[in-house]
Amino acid sequence: MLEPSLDLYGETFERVDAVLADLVVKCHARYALIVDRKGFVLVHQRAVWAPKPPSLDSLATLIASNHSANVAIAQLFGEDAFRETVQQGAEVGTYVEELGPEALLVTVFDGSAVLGKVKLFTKQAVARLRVVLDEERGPPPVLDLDEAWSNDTANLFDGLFVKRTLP
Amino acid sequence: MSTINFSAREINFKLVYYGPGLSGKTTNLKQIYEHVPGDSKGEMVSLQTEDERTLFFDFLPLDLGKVNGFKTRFHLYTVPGQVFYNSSRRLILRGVDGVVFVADSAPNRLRANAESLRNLRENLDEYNLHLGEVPYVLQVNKRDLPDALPLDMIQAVLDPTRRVPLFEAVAAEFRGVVEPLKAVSKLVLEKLAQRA
Repeated sequence: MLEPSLDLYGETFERVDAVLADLVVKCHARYALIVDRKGFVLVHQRAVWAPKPPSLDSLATLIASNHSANVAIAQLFGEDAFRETVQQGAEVGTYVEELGPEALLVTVFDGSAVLGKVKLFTKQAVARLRVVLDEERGPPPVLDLDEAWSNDTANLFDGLFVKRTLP
Repeated sequence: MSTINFSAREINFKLVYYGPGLSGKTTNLKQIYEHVPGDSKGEMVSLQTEDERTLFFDFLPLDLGKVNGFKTRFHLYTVPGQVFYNSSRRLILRGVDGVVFVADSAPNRLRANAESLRNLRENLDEYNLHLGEVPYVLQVNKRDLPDALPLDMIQAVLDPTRRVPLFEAVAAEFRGVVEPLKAVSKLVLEKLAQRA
């Protein structure tokens, strides 16, 4: 499909990962993650003090879908998109920034963080990430995804639904 | 297009269950969730109305395991079938890799099946996609209805050229649920292999 994708690999991945680690520390966030517009997690960081996160698959899917819905709402009013997407509960909140057409940067914070700092450092992180992502990168790693791979992977479905028994 | 996460060595695909309201899309996902072992599935997320109709989508991540060092994961989604939720359906199709169209065998749902398929085509158009290019299978559900329409009649309406893989199902009893999932996944994997 014609969906833009953000491939992270090699040194670029390391640098993106480092920006997220820095973001988590600077704004005292629990987690920071980059998800693509389809709802897949591309990279994530967690503060050392943060509790175990919820399912990142579910979080990424809901964030991406919610963001798409918000864009659709904005467009109903003739806007391209809403400038900010902040969700705040009694304990936990999320702040979402667009990272180009391919992905979203999500910062998850709690009451120990200041929202203003979360916004500021998330915006700064987006700018730093864009610099990294806009640099020319080497070719992606070659994937050995041939017909044999396709068949072997499809055959994994046979095992998926077979009732497993203890040895 | 699939999402390849090189660092995590994962390949992720998005499959969407599409079809008219009450055709059994959510039932498919619930049955898959119930029959897949815990270590191969994630949480199932359902965004429903109070009367348990799909409001936005259902979501179920499946983890197939590793081949050639790459973990393959399928994210399954349903769309809300009710006609007035078209904006939500369109959003869920974003980045779709494959489609299972769930048709209803009830005689009074033949037109709804056809309209839903037309709606699928229109919504794919929004992403410059055409149904003929997207891996796609048909599941004809509720074959246990006493007055179920003949399969030929449903196929004549939904796929007159008989090119699309077709499966009969009683999703509520987990009959015919695995086969369309496996078939569309195989098509999706073959497409990526051809591209690679």
